[in-house]
Amino acid sequence: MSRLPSLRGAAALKPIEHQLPNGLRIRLLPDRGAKVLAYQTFFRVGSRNEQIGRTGIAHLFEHMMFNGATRYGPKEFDRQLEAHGGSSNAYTSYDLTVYHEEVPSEALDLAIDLESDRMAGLRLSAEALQSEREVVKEERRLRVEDSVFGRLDEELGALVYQAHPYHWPVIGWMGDLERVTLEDCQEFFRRYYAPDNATLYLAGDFDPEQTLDKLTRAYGDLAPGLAPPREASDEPEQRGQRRTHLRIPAQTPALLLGFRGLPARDPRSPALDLLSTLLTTGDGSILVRKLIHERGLCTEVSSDHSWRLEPGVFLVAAELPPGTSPKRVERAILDELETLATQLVSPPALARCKAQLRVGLLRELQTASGRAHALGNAEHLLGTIGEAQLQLERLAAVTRQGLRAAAEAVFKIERSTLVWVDP
Amino acid sequence: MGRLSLPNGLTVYVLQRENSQLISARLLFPRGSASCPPGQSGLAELTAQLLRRGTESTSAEAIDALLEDAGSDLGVWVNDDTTRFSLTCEPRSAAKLLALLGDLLSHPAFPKREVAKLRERTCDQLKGALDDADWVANRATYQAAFPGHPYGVPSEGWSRELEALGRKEVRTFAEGYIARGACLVLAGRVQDLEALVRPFLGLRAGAARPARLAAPAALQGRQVVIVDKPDATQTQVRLVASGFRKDSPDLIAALLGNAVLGEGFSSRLVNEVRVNRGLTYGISSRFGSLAAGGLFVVRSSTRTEKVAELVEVVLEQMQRLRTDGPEEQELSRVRTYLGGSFRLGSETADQVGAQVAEAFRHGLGEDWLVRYPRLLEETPREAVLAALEAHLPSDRFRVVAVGPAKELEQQLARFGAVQIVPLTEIV
Repeated sequence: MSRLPSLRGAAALKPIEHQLPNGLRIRLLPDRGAKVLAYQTFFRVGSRNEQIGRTGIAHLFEHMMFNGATRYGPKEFDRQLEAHGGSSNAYTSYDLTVYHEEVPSEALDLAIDLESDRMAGLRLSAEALQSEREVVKEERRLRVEDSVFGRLDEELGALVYQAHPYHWPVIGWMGDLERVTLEDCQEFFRRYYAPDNATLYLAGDFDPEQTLDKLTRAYGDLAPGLAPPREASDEPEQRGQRRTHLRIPAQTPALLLGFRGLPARDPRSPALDLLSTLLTTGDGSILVRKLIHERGLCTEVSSDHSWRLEPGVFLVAAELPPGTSPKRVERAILDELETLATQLVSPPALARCKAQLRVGLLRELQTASGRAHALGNAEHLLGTIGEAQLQLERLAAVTRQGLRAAAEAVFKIERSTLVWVDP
Repeated sequence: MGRLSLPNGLTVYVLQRENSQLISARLLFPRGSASCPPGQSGLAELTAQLLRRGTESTSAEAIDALLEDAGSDLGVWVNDDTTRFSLTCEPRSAAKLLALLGDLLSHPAFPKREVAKLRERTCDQLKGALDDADWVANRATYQAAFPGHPYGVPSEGWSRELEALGRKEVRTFAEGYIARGACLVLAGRVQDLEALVRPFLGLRAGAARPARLAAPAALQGRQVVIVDKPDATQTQVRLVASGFRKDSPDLIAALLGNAVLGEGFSSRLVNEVRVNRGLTYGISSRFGSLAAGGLFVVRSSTRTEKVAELVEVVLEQMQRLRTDGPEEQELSRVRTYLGGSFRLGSETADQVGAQVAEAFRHGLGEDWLVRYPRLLEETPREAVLAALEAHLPSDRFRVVAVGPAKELEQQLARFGAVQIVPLTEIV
């Protein structure tokens, strides 16, 4: 792997790679700058691994991971970490569950002890499950039930995917959250939270040799887990636009337009990242300039091409002024997307969105946490860890023709889904 | 850290990090939404946002292109006391972008059409924001904490007042972006400092610092404010009381005491409300400090039928902490936790730059970044107890709830006289 000159110094993403006999993968990216480090554990499990009737278990289980293990009992995980100046959190996506700690470098031993303890033997109790179930239901009320875009997003996902587990939301359906049992959690832990289904990413201030030795001692005796069950079925090809007018309380109109996209590891994926930037990053971007500043059709507009293992969704979200017709805005967005699919963007426009992504990436890589996460995302979603180092090269290599080809492949009306509210 | 003063009075801090691939610039003026003349709420925000919509020589589109060609953007933040502009870019673009920022401040055009468009968009956004109960609760909290004081006037403004604002008001407000009392923080790989600060020599020096705002009156008694959102399945809850300025001698002791109560994932509130009872996804408390006063806020949300229970638990925890104080072990934990958070938040030049700007804003002194971690360690338990006694409210607070009033009114009456506010009156 060639070292990219523009990712030099602290931002160079070339970790030491190691695998223990039990399958645990370890990636170490030392940097003796600031006296802090990031410790991240990626488990290859997300909502795509769930079954109908038990949706939301991956995320609910993520909450259960903070309720005590063998050496550290209930409430001890965060208490210990905070008592050593650190903090922790976690997230679950469609494809992954990620636990992350940011700690002063002298707390490395504690982080290893806490994380290996819960991978070795989580303490699962009915009381903790019941409490976390209620917490997750509150989270769902907050993010979905009482949120216009939460509702739109959930509806859109259910329309875009008919067979694939991306059909249901990561947080799960409210009814399914009630059905998750302690036995389900125990089975979930055995199957997915084993060393051979996990990768550790450490970045920041530590000695790599000593750290590898400590990690080997802490995790080396853990047994590999059950082989993960067969994964998701393919999604049949979409052959026509899907639309839903959502009847929910809202003050102003809003819409969410999605296109069946590409997997993150598709060679055209960097072009989609650039298209998203070109469309909605900054006041000079195409949709912000035309729909907000020139035509006054939107108050906010954004787009997103989130990386997923399997084909995801390219999203455009718009908030409209009262009285504005969502149909009119839909047409205006589609016109711009069609232009991108049929005409070449100007060289300065392409250079501009490349510069925006480049600075954004450099910002992300300033912190140990950003570097650890970039490595994890690259290895899991882009296919190889080397892709982290190559991101800027991949973006720089996208041509105007490549941008148009990606737009042409994705921005097709028959691959689109629209959900909207119009009070 | 280097420091210089320009002839016009602008203070410049330089945090040189040779190995950084970026440079960030923060320009802070001690002039925020509390400086809006009566009846002109939202003017500070409108003015700051309009700066980039054209200068005497450069169109809005050309400004966008300059910023975005360099991969950057202009961040604009307005709070009660300050207006902040910020940008991050690669060092090779810094001189050009800072020259642009200097031009925006020295020669803004404020085209009439742009003023009208942004005003209209802001009013539309305010209406749309009513769907966000968290936003509504935060807005109502400041109104409840600072009745009749400029801090109680929302920085985004009232729709009815925004509608009357025009180019003349905007121009007048922008004349208050003066060098004296302002600071510029450059952090990262700083090359050719002279070229970077030159654009700001054109800022008007202005008069001496404006008179400090009168302190807000301390809240008395208990009251409940319900913002009626009949369709909500969950209620956003705040408990708010009067606080203190950041230069208060109680600052560190109160921060330590508050961390025991409601900061981090092992605080008493998280333990009792989230872990033991499953009542909420999130709960936290904080002391927020402004130039002329401050506030204490507990922030959470829960299903509507459990709001009173949540408030009871919060009050009980506050009472226990005020009466018994924190245990030694808890205090030790939060000392390290806050110190560690500070270190984690100082990892990059940009983060340190933000802390320098914050210390400047509150007049905490240039050695604040060195003193703060030391003070966390040295502040004795007795001082924490005294600060909690002085600032953690027992019977002078407001409960703010955003949810269905029909289900909340009776539940919350036990906490004080209930005032119900229709949702649309919030904007």
